Formats: sequence, structure tokens, C-alpha cells
Amino acid sequence: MTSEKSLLPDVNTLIEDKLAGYPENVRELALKAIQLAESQQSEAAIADQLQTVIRRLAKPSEGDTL
Amino acid sequence: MILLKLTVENFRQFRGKQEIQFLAPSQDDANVTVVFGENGRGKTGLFRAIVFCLFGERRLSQDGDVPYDELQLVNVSALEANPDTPVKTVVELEFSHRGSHYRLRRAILGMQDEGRIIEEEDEIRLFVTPSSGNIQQIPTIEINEVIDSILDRRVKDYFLFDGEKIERLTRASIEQRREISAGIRNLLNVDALETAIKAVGRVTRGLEKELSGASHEELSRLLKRLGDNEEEQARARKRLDELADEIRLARQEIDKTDKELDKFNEIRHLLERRKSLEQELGELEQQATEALSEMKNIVCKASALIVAPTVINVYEHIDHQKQKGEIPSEIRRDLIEKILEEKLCICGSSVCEGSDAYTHIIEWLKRTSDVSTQDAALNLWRYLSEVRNHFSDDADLVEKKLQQYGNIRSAIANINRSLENVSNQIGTSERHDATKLDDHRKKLQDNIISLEANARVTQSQLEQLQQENDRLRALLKEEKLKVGRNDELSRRSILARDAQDALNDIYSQFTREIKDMISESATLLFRELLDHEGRENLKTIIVNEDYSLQVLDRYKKPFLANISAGQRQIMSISFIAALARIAAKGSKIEIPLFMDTPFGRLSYEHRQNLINQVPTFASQWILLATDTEFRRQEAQLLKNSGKWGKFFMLRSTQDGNTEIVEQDISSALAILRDEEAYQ
Repeated sequence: MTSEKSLLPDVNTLIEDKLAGYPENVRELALKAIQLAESQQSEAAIADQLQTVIRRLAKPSEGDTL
Repeated sequence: MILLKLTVENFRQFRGKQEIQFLAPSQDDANVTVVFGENGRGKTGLFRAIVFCLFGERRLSQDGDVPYDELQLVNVSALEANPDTPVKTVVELEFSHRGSHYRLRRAILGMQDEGRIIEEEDEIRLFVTPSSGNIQQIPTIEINEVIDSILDRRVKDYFLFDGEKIERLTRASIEQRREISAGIRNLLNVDALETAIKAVGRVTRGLEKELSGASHEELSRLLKRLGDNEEEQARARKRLDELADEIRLARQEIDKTDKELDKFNEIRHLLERRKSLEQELGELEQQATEALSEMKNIVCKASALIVAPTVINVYEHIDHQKQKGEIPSEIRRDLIEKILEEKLCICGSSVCEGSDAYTHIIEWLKRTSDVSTQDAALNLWRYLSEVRNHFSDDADLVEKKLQQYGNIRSAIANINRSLENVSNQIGTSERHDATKLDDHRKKLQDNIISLEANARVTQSQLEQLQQENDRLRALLKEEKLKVGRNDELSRRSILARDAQDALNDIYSQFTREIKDMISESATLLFRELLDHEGRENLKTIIVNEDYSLQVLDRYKKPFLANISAGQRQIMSISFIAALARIAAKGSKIEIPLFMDTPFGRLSYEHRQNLINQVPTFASQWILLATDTEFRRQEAQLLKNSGKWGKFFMLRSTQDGNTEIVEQDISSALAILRDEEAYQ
């Protein structure tokens, strides 16, 4: 049975508000990690999925001089 | 969670099948159910029934040293009426939670075997009916998980509690505090954030391992140091967990040994005395650790006091010279030297060598020093005059702390002496078995003291490692920016580390804010619940890092050690209410407050405040009360609040059992006695 626990909406809002001050890619990665953590998967499974997200977010966009 | 109905069958004093339908919060705002009974009628039995049904636990915190096999749940008269037939004991609890209806049933079979009562687990079932209406039976193996997700067993003592023992929450030991902290984090739903941090951390470590193989020497060095630091931190945390487990196991072993020792009736009173001394010793050791930690902060001041006599001497010497006019000198040294060199006075007359004037000027020269020395001496005089003013305050502080620490150590020494004395008496009770058991127990107790000391040292090492980690992270961030913005691996590594840091920052801000919110909310309620005198003196509740509590007095000094048991009880209730408010995000949390005899230690003003306040912050209040604490005065107050809706009376039957009888509120007021009846 899946647990009905989840980060409650206003806690998520609180976290999103706090992440607003971070760069877009950092914010997106952090939120994705929380979203995956809420789905009750194992830490290793979450980490695997995050690798893909990181590859996408770390690609330099056009005009990026990093 | 809202409790709806409790059914007990052949449970403790309740023979046959009996039930209580609790008052669920309704539109008319009433939310209080009172279960009233004299001592021994089964109030705690009902409390035990709920804890047993939800968590399968027979032992309550107030059972203390009662041997496990003496905690029988089966109704003895039912068993005696049918000695050859097992008696089924059932507790069924119906409750609602987030729109679903739950029916939890736990049963045991009680039987007699050569005069002994044996109880065996029989069944446990949980049925859930969601708002859609389809009843679902939860597999047995998942029942505990489901119940824990509704009311975490680690925080159950916060919501289902014995009123007189609730103040113990303010005295929790290290491992209890760790459990409570984990339970509170779960209650506040921050565990998903913790999992996210761990998962991102795993990715970061993998990427940094790859990166350290690349050819950036400084980066590799920093990554290695950071990796070592994090491994050390993980080891320290693991060690803390292991120590907590070892302490818990040692305590369990002590309980087991105590049960064996309890068989020796003649030394039972000594065992009880020893247990209470050990508890006192534990609290004093904790106070000593706190005092030592405060002393660490004033060590630099203490070292300054060592040189205080020298500083004061130097000051007085310069001051003396200043008063004599030697510092600053009336005539500057460079002017005198110029006169002697040019042999010409400022008035124009010549100053010949050997003349009276020359000799006089030489005398002046001897009494003056050069300008820079004079300036330095004056600056030193000013500085020392400021410093010496602080010596007396610092000395008072250091003396006070040393005295406090000395008093605690002396109290510890006294308790140790009493403990030795009690242990000797136990040892000389000419019961060989008891002596052997007692030696075993002493070793266990010594082991616990050493484990607890070890845990405190490990905790302090962990804090130092965390500081070093913060420093290394800052350096790493700079280094990564220097070496590899165009490198794909570096970009991924920087991103992962940044996300991990962001989540960690948010987590610490979030938990800090929650603690501040709990402190603030608990303080507000605490001050509303306290009587006038308490309000004058006790100002703020502080929630510490590990969710332990402290209270500050009007001088903002820690005052927990000095407050009464009643005030501790009020403080714990305020903390629970604040926790409930935060978890429910400002509205009423759907967790019942189930209090067994909460008024015993409280003054009338405290009772009055509690009766007025609890129904406003709890969604449901179930109050188990005895005749001396719930009199007509308290009942009238509760009735006036408009929150009281149900009243059950526990009445003695002819065969010594208890029957549950529901009565309306007006009858309750007629039954209850006035204060005068107890005088």
C-alpha cells in the first residue's frame, strides 16, 4: 500500500518560494529531486533518474559563455 | 485522526462487550468527551486499550517497573468463570482520517495454566472505507505502517498521554530525544525533503569522484578532503545511532534484570530507591554537561583573570606616575635635549655646563621619558582602566559558573554515595541470586554512563566536522569556477553540488523556522495557561536543536531546572499544542488529545486556563478524569465553554468489574461534588 503522506501543498509552496532565489537549473533539479522523493522510490532509484535530469540541465544553451 | 468509537470486550476491568462513542468535532463546535471515574475504575484501562489497539503495546510509560507478565489485559473474572475455556479479549477502535473511515480490531486469547494467566495474540484486522465507499481490508503486514502514517508511534505520547507524566517530555534522555526528533520530522512531513537531499548527495559524490580523476590538482585535493570529511560525518552519525541502540538495549536488559530482582520482595523498596536515584543522577549528569559547555564559552574570560593582578599593578603604577605629573611630563624631553645641545635657554640666556641651571635641567631630563613612550603609557593606562572594570563582572560570572558546576558535581557525588549505599544493602541482603543479578545490573548501568559520555563526545566531533565541511564547500565552489566552466563534467558536478547545497540551505532554514514557530506559538499558549505568578516569572519557551525544551525566566536565563511539576506539565501541553498547530498549518490538527487525569498537579487557575484553552486548539479532547480533579467547579467551567458534549461514567459493578454508563451533561453536574466535599 502506498503511503498517503506527501509534502503538503503549502510546504511545497514554501520550498518553491525559497528556491526562487537560485538559478533556474538549480531550482529545477532541486524540485525534481523532491518530486521523486515524494513518490516513495528508493534513494538509488531517485539518484539514477536525477543523472538524466542533470545531463540535460548542464548542457550549455546557445549563447551561454560558461 | 478523529476517534469515533472504542469497543472493549473482556478487557481489564470491562467484562463483556462495552463501548464509548466519542464526540467527534461537529458544526455546533462541541468537541469534548469526559470519561469520569474514581481511582481503580478503569480510566487508565481505556487509555491502555487505545494504545494497545493502535500500536499493539501493552506497557504504558506510567507502568514504570511493573513486570511485563503482571500486565494482564484479559478480564480475570471472565477467565475465572470459565477456567477451562480461553477468553477472547477484544479492543476495536473506529476512527476517521482525511475523509476515510478506519476500523481497527486487535484481539488476544487469555487462558489459565496452573494458576498462571497466559495471553496469546489472536488477530489484528484493519478495514478502511474511503469516501468512495468501497471497504478495503489492509494486509496484516501493512497495518503498522498504515497506523504509523496516521499517528507516528514515536510521537504518540504527545497526543495520547497520562497527564501527570506528560511533564517527563521535558526531561527526555538523548536517545528519547532522537526518537522524538525523528517522529516530529515525520509529523511535519519534512522527510521527503531529507530523501531528496540524500539522493542528490549520492549523485554529487559520484560526479565528484569522476572529476577528481581529472587533472585539476587543487580541485582533486579539495574534493578528497570534502569526501573524507563527509565520510567521517557519516561514520560519526552511524556511531551516534549505534550508541543510541546500545543504550536502548542496555536499558532493556536493565528492565529485564529488574523484573528478576523484583521477585525478591524484601529488597523491592531498595530497588525502587535505586531506580529513582539513577534517574536523578542521569538528570544531574545532563546538567553538568550543559554547565561545562557554558563554561567553555567563558574560558577566554577566565584566562584573562589569571593576569588580572598584574594588569591592575601596571595600571596603578602608570596612574601613580600620572598623578605625580611624570606622565605626561610638564616639559617635553626633546625640548630639554635641544636646550642642552644648544646651551641656550628658551628665555635667551646661555646655559653653561657645570652651572646651576645646567645641573637643574639635567635633573629634569632624568625625570622625563621620550614622547612615544609617554603616549604608549597613556594609551595603556586608558585601555587598562577600561579592562580592569570588567574584571569584577567576569570574575563574578566565572565564579558563579564554577560554583554551579561544583554544586552539580557535589550533588552527583552525594547521589553516587547513596547509590553505593543502596547497592551495598542490596548486595548484603544474603540473597546470592540477587547479588549476582545486582552485579550484572551495575555493569549495565556503568556501561550506559560510558555510552552516554561517548555519545556526547561524538556529537561534539560531528559539530566540528560540520563547520569544517562548510569551509571546504566554500573553497570548492571557488575552485570549480576557476577550473572548468567549459568542461561538461565540471558543469554537471557544479550543478549537482549547487542543488544539494540549495536543498540543505532550505532544509536548515525550514527546520529553523519551524522551531522558531513552535517556540513562539508554545510561548504564547504557555503564558495563557500559566497562573499570574508563573506569567510574571516565566517568559519564553525555547525549542532546542534536538527538540528538547528550555524555558527562560524574566532575565532571559534558563530556568527549566527550577520550575514545578505542574508548570512542566503546562509547558509540555503548550509544546504539544504548538506542534499540532504547526503540523496543521495554523488550523486545527486532526489528532485527538487524549489526556488521562491531567489536572492532579494543577492549581485551580491552571485548570481553569486549560479548560478554556484546550478545546480551542485541539480538534477533539478526550478527558479521563477522577473525582478529586473534576469537581462541579471544573464541570461548570467546561459546560460554560460550550465545548462539552458527552459524559461517560465508569461505575463499579457488584462483581468488582466496571460498566460504562453514558449520562447527559446536566446529570453529570448533579453527580459531581463540590470542592468543599473534599475538604
